[in-house]
Amino acid sequence: MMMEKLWFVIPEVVLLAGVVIVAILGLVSSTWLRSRVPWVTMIFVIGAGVSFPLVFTDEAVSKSTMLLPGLGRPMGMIACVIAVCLLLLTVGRIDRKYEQAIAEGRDRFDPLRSNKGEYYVFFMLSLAGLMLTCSANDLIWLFLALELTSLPTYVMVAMSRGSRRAQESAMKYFFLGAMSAAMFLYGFALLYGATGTVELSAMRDALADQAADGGISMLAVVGMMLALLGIGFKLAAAPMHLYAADVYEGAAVHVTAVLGFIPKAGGAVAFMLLLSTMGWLDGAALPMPILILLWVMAVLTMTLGNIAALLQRSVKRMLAYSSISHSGYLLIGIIAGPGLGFSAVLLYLFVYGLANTGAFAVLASLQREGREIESIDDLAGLRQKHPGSAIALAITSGSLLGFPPLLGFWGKLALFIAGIASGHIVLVLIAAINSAISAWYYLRLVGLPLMSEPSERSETIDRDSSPWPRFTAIGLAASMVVLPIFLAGIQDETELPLTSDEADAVALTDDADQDSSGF
Amino acid sequence: MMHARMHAMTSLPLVLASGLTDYLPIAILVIMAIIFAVVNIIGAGILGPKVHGEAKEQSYESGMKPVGTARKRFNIRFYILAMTFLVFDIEIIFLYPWAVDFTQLEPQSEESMIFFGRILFFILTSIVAYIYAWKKGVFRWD
Amino acid sequence: MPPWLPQFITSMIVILVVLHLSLGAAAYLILLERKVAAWVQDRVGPNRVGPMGLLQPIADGLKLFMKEDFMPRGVDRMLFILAPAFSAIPALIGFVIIPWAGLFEFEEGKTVAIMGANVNIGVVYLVATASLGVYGVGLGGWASNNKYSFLGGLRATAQMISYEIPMGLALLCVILTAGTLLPMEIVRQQLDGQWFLIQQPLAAALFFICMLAEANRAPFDLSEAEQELVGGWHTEYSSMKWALFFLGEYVHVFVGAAFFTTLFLGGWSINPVTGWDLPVLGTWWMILIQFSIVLAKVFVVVAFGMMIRWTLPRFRFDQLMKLAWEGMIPLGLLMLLMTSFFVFIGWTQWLWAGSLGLLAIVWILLPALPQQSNPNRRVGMLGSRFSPPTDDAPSHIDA
Repeated sequence: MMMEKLWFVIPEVVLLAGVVIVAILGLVSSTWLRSRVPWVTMIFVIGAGVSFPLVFTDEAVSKSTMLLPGLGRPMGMIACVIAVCLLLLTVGRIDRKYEQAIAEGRDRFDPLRSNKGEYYVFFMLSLAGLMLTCSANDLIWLFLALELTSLPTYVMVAMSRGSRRAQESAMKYFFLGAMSAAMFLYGFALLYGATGTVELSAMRDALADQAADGGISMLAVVGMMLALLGIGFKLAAAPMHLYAADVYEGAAVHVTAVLGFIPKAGGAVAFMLLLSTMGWLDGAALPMPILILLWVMAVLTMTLGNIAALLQRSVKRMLAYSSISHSGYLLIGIIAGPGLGFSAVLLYLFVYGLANTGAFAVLASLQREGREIESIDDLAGLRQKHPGSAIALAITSGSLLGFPPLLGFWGKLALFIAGIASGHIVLVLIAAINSAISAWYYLRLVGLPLMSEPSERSETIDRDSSPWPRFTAIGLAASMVVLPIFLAGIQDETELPLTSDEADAVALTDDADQDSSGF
Repeated sequence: MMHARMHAMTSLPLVLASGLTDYLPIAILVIMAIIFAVVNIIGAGILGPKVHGEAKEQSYESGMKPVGTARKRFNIRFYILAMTFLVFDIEIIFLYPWAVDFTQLEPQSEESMIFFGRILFFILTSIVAYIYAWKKGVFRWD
Repeated sequence: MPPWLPQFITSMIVILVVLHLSLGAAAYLILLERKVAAWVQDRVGPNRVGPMGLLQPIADGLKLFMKEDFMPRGVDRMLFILAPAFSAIPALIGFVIIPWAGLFEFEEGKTVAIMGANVNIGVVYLVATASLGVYGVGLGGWASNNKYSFLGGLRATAQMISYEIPMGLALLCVILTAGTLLPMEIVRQQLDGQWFLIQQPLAAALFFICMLAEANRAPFDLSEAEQELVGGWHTEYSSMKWALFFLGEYVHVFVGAAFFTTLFLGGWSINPVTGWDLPVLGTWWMILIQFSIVLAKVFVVVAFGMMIRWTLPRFRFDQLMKLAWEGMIPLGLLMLLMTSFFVFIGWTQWLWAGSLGLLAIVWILLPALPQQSNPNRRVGMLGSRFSPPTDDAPSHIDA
């Protein structure tokens, strides 16, 4: 048992070794070494990604006693791929002014002022938290992993920019995050009280007993609802979505891109793990109150996200609300349940992560006098001076919208198929209507750079001094076009080898004669 | 597998009674110490004279009139130092039981190697943390 | 008779004896301190009350009792009253795990240990109680509503927690050498073999320095630096409350010296190297001999600390912190690595050589390490010897 736990955290150990090395590397006085910090970080992230197929072999997974042992490999690899893209965005952007001053001899290196190493350390810690969430098999581990995912991001927001706005949004994010953590921890406590165990697979058995004895106890249902609401904060799902726009706007673009993926993926994984303990027992649906909650969350998240995004003038706020609405789509897959639904969620996380990172990469590749561009009008007629960025923005926006040949379409299609297959046709219809609404603002992101004439304001836009965000944007845009060709391969990888029916059958026969330990 | 020292220890006729009776003298001593302190504080309060006055009740500031409150914000270094202290103190507490077990193992045996290797990793990570804190200027007070 | 009763009775006798002994010792240590100070400074010292001033502590105690117990305006009353108790109580409860003498055989095959409490956590208990003393100092400084007290309390807190780490590391080296947490067993190993002072000289030095620092003794008494902070955290204290702080400090010194004796000076061992030594088991006269040897060693250690106090000048705060964090902690970590490596190899007999070798390596490598800028700055004051006024650069001040 102990060895199994250690075996499955090898990728995280790789990342933690990277954390230790990068933390020191950011403090060395050699400029050459300091500028290599992002690449060293990338080596460790790739190392962790490569170790996933080696660690989560079919044999090891089949022997595992975890609730969803198949989750680790696809999720970990997706996280590593997207993390590499997120890292490329940051090359040459962290501590840029300070490093320039040192290069020009205006300043001497002072480890007290350098934040280069720290940024990558927190990035890797957050990524490690996401990976640990996938291999969680008890509530305490799950809680710690989720907090490890979120806590570094609070700091990253605060140190991303020197402005007051960044500090303010970091404080907001931190306090609301603490509140949500308290909420889902309370939910976990109630779940423990109702089932008498913190281990997820044992909890599933206990709840299966309760269901067989005439219904899951109210305590467990309330605990689950609290937990879902609290973790909804990580997903930025309504009603816990209110922080998202302010925080995304306050943070620097490269941090906003991180916020748009890593905590969200952690939240989605936690949703899948928690709901698997309670729902789909013996092929049945989720308990009614939970199902209603998830429905309300999904519908509200999509609708509020899309409508709010329509009203925005700031690009970052618009993308923030768009990412909220994508959480709503993700919830369809989660409601659809194991099998088609969860596979669709993983596929969608991959697709959305690439497209979202691409959109933010375009923003990161542009600047005006060293500052980020804010208003959507700044993008007008982008094609004339920066054709690559304009096309990349158009393609990634199209992918986020779900425009047919692009990668985003296939992700959405998988979610809708899963929704229809599980009988939630109304929900899929609402999602389709929402997609139509979202077309309005996504098409603005397509049309404005490509078709409008440049305004006086948008003439002053320059490209960023670091070429890497631009390369990332173009590379991700290309992947939106190319990857659908390999769609079958990707879907194979995101297929969860989940045997929920078998697990149910075993659970029911094993524990049929035991009394349920809850009430 | 046990080291020779282990046999020497078991031969000592030192009987450790199991249970909490070992701690009974400590509890009595704590109560005695509390009584001692309380009696001294109360006794001196009763015996001594009592004189009040405007100037006398001022807090001492070298004879000047006190300016403002004394409970001010203080240097952040103290907080950072306290956090660094916590890291190292807890690490040392972790090492006590390890130290006792490690010395009972046969030197250079495989088991001893595992014990040594693991703790070496643990110590080295905290040495890295120490170097990091040093570079970050936690220990600078100028 | 329940099996734990003999040990309990012995424990209570030891506690009663040693508690009074340490309280009396604290009073007479103050007298000794004043005498030592006087001799060092070529004075006579207290000599008016009783023969050679021997009744001075009693007179002082009476005086303190009759003094006004004063509390200035604006203090946090609850904490102000509690702080002296927080300072004295941890000091008074620390000594229970010190083995004052060997095992007493009261019946054939049945023994009791001459110590306050024979608990299995051993030395960890003393470390735990010793570090509680910081609360009294910190709270006293905070509660006083006085800027000097506040600064003194802060400094003392930072100092005490800083020196606790090298102390823990030195103790860890001893535990690695002895392989046990039980103080009685630590002493017994030193009876059989060498004193740990010889096996681990570097750890002993670290431990002794930390002991002085933990008790806020000179040269580490910055928290009560008279020239800067009046009386430090006890500026606003008077009467018995003030006395409790001092009682705590001197009992701390006494217990610390006893702990040092147990760990490094072999308790009642009289032979520093391997060979014949006093036995562990004994009857009542052997117990008395052992007890007096321990007390003599404690006295020597305390007197040594006093000589240090009156010969060395006080540190500056940044030097104090530099010594702990940039000197003693790295050295302690290296000691820990060295000791665990030697234990792993099985060279426990050669630890002294390891310590000395480590010291030599550090001494050789020290100049090769990256140097930090010196915080000592020469402020170029016009006309001072650091910047004599010249014609082309009349008044240049580089701070």
